[in-house]
Amino acid sequence: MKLYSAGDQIGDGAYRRIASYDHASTYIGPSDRLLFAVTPTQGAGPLNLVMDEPDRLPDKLSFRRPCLYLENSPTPLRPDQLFRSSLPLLSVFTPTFQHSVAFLKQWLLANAPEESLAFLLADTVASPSRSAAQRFFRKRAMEAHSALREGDLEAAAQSLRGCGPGLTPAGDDFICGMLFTLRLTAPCDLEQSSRIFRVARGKSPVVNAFLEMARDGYAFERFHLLLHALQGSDTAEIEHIAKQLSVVGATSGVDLCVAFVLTWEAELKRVGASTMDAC
Amino acid sequence: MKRGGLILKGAYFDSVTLMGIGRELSATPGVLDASVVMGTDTNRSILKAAGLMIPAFDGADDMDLLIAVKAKSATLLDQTLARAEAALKKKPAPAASSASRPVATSIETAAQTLPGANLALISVAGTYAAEEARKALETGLHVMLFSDNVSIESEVELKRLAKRKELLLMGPDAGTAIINGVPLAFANVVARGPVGIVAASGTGAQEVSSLVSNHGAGISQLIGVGGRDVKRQVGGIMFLEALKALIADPQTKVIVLVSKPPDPVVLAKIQHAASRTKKPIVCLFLGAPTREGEPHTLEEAAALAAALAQGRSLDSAWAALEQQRADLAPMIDAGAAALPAGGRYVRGLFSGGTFCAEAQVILAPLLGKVYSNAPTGEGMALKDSGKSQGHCFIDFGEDEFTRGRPHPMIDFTLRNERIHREAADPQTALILLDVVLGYGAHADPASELAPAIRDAARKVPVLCSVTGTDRDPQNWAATIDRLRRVGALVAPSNAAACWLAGEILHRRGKKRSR
Repeated sequence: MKLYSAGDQIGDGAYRRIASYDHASTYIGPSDRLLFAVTPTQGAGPLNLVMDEPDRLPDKLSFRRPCLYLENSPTPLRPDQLFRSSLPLLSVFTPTFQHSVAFLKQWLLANAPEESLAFLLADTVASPSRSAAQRFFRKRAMEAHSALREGDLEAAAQSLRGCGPGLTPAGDDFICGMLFTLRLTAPCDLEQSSRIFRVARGKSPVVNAFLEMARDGYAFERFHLLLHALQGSDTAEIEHIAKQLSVVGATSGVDLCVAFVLTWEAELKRVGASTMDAC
Repeated sequence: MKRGGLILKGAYFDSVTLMGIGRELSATPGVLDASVVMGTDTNRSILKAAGLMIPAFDGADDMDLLIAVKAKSATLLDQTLARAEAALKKKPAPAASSASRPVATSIETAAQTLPGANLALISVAGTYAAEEARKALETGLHVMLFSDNVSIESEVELKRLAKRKELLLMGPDAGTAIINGVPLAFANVVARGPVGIVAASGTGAQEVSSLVSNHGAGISQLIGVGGRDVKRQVGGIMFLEALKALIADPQTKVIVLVSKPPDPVVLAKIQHAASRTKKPIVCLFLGAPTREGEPHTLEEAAALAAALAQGRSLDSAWAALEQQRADLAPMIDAGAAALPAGGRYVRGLFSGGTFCAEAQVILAPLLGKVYSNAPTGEGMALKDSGKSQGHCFIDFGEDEFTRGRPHPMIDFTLRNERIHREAADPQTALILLDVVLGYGAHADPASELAPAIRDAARKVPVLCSVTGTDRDPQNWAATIDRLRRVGALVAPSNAAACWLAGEILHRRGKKRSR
């Protein structure tokens, strides 16, 4: 077994497997803390153990830094194998960042899957769906979008919590994207993130784990790479990482990006365009 | 109308699986609505508003999977729910112990698990595909690289490595191969025989191999190298290696080369390599100028190769093709009689890129300006792939249609929608379709297409070709029969369907001028 990295938010303790998918397993540990064993294809994350053959892991394992224990046999982690997931402090209201976000928005509009929330980025009305459930889901997403535009992020979270398809419903992916963005645009306003988290928190340990990480600004590797790309003006790099994000889950990566763009726009409106000029 | 559902308590399935099943249920004929969601409060309120709520969902919570279906009849409802349950059971069981399963999740352990294996088929996200392919080559395995989105620089590097190691690297974006009689990815069940194929064109290779087999000959090897191989940057590295392999292969007596026109430098290398064997070689560089006696279409290439393999004269092959055209006269009459009064344009809706290209190559000289989202030869770029203009040929396998959804040979949703739309367009004269059978393709494409074709055929002629054999899981003859029953005119090949389309429009032109 080859271990590539371990997320810095994996808690110490004994874990048991609660689910296995193609090339991934989910474990639950103390205080319902989760650990995701994944392949390099899925990439590093705050709670991810990145390795070859994660579905060959035993049903029980334990993690006590600096070692992963499989059937009591320790696998030591080198310092360079620790994935540091904390979002950096960045200047996100710069003209370059604005251009990059605009490019990302256009890319999402052109390339996002139909079932995703990317229709919220368009100025036009979404194409009608045959499915009534899909129509109601979209209606809620549009209500959330209106609230977001008006700066009422809690109301947006309220509309979208637990809403839509997916193991982590699309609405929850969107809320994670909102929370990540707030860590960047308002890093000192932790109270707002906490309020949104309280609104969004449900009964699913998987969703709650993602929301908690997003509230606290612990992001997965591809989101870090996206931020890095957005700070520059290389559209090929932005496109490259957007493509990588778009294959996260069915629509999870895209929905998170859509939330990022819309929340960033709402935050720019809140802080005022003069902030941009000052940069 | 009947409503029902299933609740799977505490079920963990990945989102891709859930969305795929939801899409499949919604697309089932007779299913009015379907939804596959986790049982959160919000999702349950959405199901209620959508008329999909059932009492069993009342006690569900965030970790329960809800499958809700509204269908035309109770029988269909039961069948649909049973299908959904079966589809979920096929996936890895939740919380299953997998420690002792002999599953290989890396190239290295796969090679250890199956000693003696000499080929790896790689289908992972493009970003990681090159690295996996490199590992396989380093392990001494030939590689079929199904993944796309591999950079051209990586492709060149991998192909050079493969050449150094005397291995084949088929791909990236290689959809079709038959190696030693084993079909890989999208491939048909063809007879074994003396015809070897090197192709930089997936559906082109499927059409040629199926037609060769249907002519009574057979295939020794089909090596797909990926569409970019014959471009200047890659230099035809694997096309040439595959050609060399077939020249050396004692089972291969006749060689067919299929691709879009290669870069001139690459073409010269291919011609040079081809000149060094006495084995007969049939070359089809679709859209490139041809000389007398050279094939112009996939159908002609297959007919010539089959004749050579069977020891018949090439003249007999050309004569058979002429006779086939004569035999199609009744279809021209039927198509011309069904043409709508105001319809002027051919609308080709293809799942195979090579078929879309071939349609443009055949019909541009007959019809004048043709438009496509994948223009080839004289074809002009379509401004908006979602909206047809003039004679228009759409390749639904292009990225714009496949992002976030399966290939159109598997998922017919977009093409069916477009068939309805084109049939309703007063400018449409006739609709041209391809249907591809074989491994990897939809298990029953005729059933998927039938409602759309039935609707369209009431308004305009619908011309189809079916690529495959009677040994394919879907069965070629049965598929043709089902398509005919819903009103389609079925031609023996894509080229024949295109030719028929041209003749049908030409016939009306003659009537008008009289």
